[in-house]
Amino acid sequence: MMAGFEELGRDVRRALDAEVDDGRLARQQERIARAVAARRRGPVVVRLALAAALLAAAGLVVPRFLDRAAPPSFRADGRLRRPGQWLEAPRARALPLRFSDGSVVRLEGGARGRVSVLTRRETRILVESGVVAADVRHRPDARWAFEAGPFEVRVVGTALSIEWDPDRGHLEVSVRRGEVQVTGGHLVGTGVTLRAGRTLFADLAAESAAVAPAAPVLPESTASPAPATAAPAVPRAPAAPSWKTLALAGDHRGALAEAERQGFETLIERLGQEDLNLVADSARLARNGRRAQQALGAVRRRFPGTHMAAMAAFRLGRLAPDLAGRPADAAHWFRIYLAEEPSGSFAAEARGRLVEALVRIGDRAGADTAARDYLAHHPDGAYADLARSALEPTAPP
Amino acid sequence: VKGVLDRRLRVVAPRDEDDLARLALRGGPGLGVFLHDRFGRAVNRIVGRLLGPDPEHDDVVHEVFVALLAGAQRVRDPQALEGWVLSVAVNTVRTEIRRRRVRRLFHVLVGAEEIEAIAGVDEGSEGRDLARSVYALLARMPTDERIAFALRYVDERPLAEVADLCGCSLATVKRRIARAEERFARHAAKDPGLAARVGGR
Repeated sequence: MMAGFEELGRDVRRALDAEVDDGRLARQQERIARAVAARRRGPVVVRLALAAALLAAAGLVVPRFLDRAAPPSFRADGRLRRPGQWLEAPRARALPLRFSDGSVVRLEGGARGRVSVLTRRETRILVESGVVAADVRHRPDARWAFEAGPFEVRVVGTALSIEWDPDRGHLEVSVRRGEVQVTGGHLVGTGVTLRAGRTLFADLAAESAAVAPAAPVLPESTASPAPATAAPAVPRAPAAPSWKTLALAGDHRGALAEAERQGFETLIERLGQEDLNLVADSARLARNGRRAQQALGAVRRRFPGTHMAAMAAFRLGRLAPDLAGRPADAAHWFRIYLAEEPSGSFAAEARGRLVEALVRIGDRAGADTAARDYLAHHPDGAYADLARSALEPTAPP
Repeated sequence: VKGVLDRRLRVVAPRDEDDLARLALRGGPGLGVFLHDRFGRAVNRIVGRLLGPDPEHDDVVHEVFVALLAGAQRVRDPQALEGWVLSVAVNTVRTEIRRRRVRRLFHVLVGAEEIEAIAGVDEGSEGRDLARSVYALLARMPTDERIAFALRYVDERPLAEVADLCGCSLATVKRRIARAEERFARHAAKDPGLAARVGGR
């Protein structure tokens, strides 16, 4: 019997452990960072608590509790639906999803998606393809997010539409009311903040992004028509935008061109650590590995011994395969990162990538040592299989 | 990730467990993110294994880190850091399970409409169907037995560790697991798929 439980436990474990990916971990981490920031605003919380106590005394809490106690739900075509179910709008008409908090999400003709998370505190909708228009009711304790491929659109009390074409890697987000934050994909840093009346065009394949003032035609909107051509246009301000503005808007080619215009090599000698990393990101995403390497090199040279310098070593290691496929350079930089931050946040990945690079070079002895080191530190890590296979030729596990 | 990293990079990351414990003790900036960096996967793993596929998984993980931040100043021994993190995770899940029982009872009392939320779990996967069946069955067990059983068999922990994480003696945890096995086998007997797996009674 016990063996039966052990085997059952093992199978359940396998099914569960595939669930948490890096994106999810990153979202959790952001939420923790936000919670910590909110905790620092203690006095406000105290005042709110006092106000809540007064409301309770006024007898307003009971109906709210009853409302909150009811689990969130949503209906489509008049039927109660379960989160996790795939939903598809017929080609000829939209499929509105009506949520118990009053929010409405419309899958326009032919669009596919699903409500992946529906809790009191969070609603998450995965847009697989097509156009999705939403009118989200603002609730201070609830978060809404839409996922479209690698992008995430976070909203708070907003009317917006999202179009995601997975085949072309093309995303369009138009905001009618409120404000949204678009992150992920090739949008670096905290992504793009989009206000009412603006449309973001992001192209994954070209790694380009631009914000235009006109919103496309929305089913329930009186917004002005979409631009006539598909080609995105960056609105021209009276003064040319700085490289940083362009980089933060996701226009990496534009950012790099502007940095070049200012004199790239001079620029990287005077920028601060964070801006140096941003310019390195833009150069990498504009597919200019040499400039990215120079910017990261400047971080190492100008800020030696800092955490940022160690991170630059790690990033140089990751960049090396893009620079004419030089795995020896990758191994060099991962070794430096590990020497500087053996327990750093990216130590597991650096150890794994080091094994990979040494295998690619054909350095069997080095790969064997690196693989042993990896397995000693991360026996269940993502590169464990690779590490075990690197051990095989000389010492079967 | 990058946004968080950018914010985080303004402070010096702890280099090892000792450093992290020191940071925990003085509640330095970025502690929440660093704790998540170091223990995020472990906490996700144990919460997932105790609670099963759950739409509120991320909320529970968040509660764990809120509790860790609230109690971080009590950490004295860097070597005990991981054990403490996992104990907090187990206690948070235990509280969550009990809270849900009360909530479910409340819904029965007020007749509220409730649907089974299975967000994040794809339909049709054999492994996930199995996980769903197992956790539906575990949900019918007393909380302490359910947790001991899941730690022993799903999380594959030795009995001594299960006892540590449950905060009870080895003898108590053995009794809980034995009772959980018996209860599991009895309920599983009504589910042909599960009965075959545990040699139903």
